[in-house]
Amino acid sequence: MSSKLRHVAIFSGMAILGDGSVIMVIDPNVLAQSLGRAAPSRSEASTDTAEREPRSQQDTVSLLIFRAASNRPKAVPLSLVSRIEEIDCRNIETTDGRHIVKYRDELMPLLGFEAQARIKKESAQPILVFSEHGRSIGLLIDEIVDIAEERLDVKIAGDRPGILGHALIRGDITEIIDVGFFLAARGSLGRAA
Amino acid sequence: MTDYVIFTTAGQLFGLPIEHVQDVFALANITRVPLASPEIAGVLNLRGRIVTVIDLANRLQLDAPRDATAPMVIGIERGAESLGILVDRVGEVLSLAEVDREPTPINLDRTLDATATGVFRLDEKILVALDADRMLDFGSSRSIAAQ
Repeated sequence: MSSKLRHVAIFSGMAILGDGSVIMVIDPNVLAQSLGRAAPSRSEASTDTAEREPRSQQDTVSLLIFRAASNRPKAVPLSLVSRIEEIDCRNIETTDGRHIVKYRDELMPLLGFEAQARIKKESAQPILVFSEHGRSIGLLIDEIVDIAEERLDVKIAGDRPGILGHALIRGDITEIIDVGFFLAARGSLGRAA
Repeated sequence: MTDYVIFTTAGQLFGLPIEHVQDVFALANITRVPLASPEIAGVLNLRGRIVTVIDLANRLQLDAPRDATAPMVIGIERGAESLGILVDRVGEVLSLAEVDREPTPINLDRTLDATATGVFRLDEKILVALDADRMLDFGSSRSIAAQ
């Protein structure tokens, strides 16, 4: 969203239709709140769908596949991702070795997979936003690769913090990331080890 | 000498230094944004980029009647953002000497005064030279510009 339109919270973004016209994408949570009804919190909603969907679709989940820090693909269940954003690198501030960005009138810490998270110096930095209890963190990534409907079957447990384990997704060995680790790292670490 | 792109809206003549202007195009297929502030005319798709269009007359609180027969948009790049200024008509590019730029008259409207760098006396009309940064600094952009 343009900075000139951030005050309209009801829209989460914009999209271009096939005929070239631009449409606004409504954020149903904000819409529900503006109507005075309490929307279910995001964490409730996501565990709900995560529990229900696998059974109905033969144990498949939507996995967001991305690259960060290394060439090995990484994946996270899409239902755990609040948002996929591209932020302007010039809005990223560094204090005490921690990266912070102003995001929707809040300060959000940015975490990476490496101790010295690489931040692009120019243009847009893609991030995944994870939220819990109204607090958000941004995970610095290099690029989004794809979204796949796959069975999530972690074969080998991870040996690094932030990685749950490895799974075969579309024939590639893929690291499944531990969202809980990054959310927990929010307050103290400021970055993943 | 500075080259100014000349345009009119609500009967007033304006100029913007040409280095701020990315492109000029006719207004077509604009999508209004409900709930947006009155300065926002809407959003449109320019060659795959989404441009946020700002209505200059509303931004400067000009009340004079508009000539909406062939509205034009002046495209301005602001970092990663594409913005457009909606005006009634776009004229030529004028080379104006900086020594001819006079301070804004004391009776100029406050909003206009805050966005102008000065005025030029042309043959018949007064041209208000605008500052792109100050013109685009309104609403939620203020905090971002301050960073």
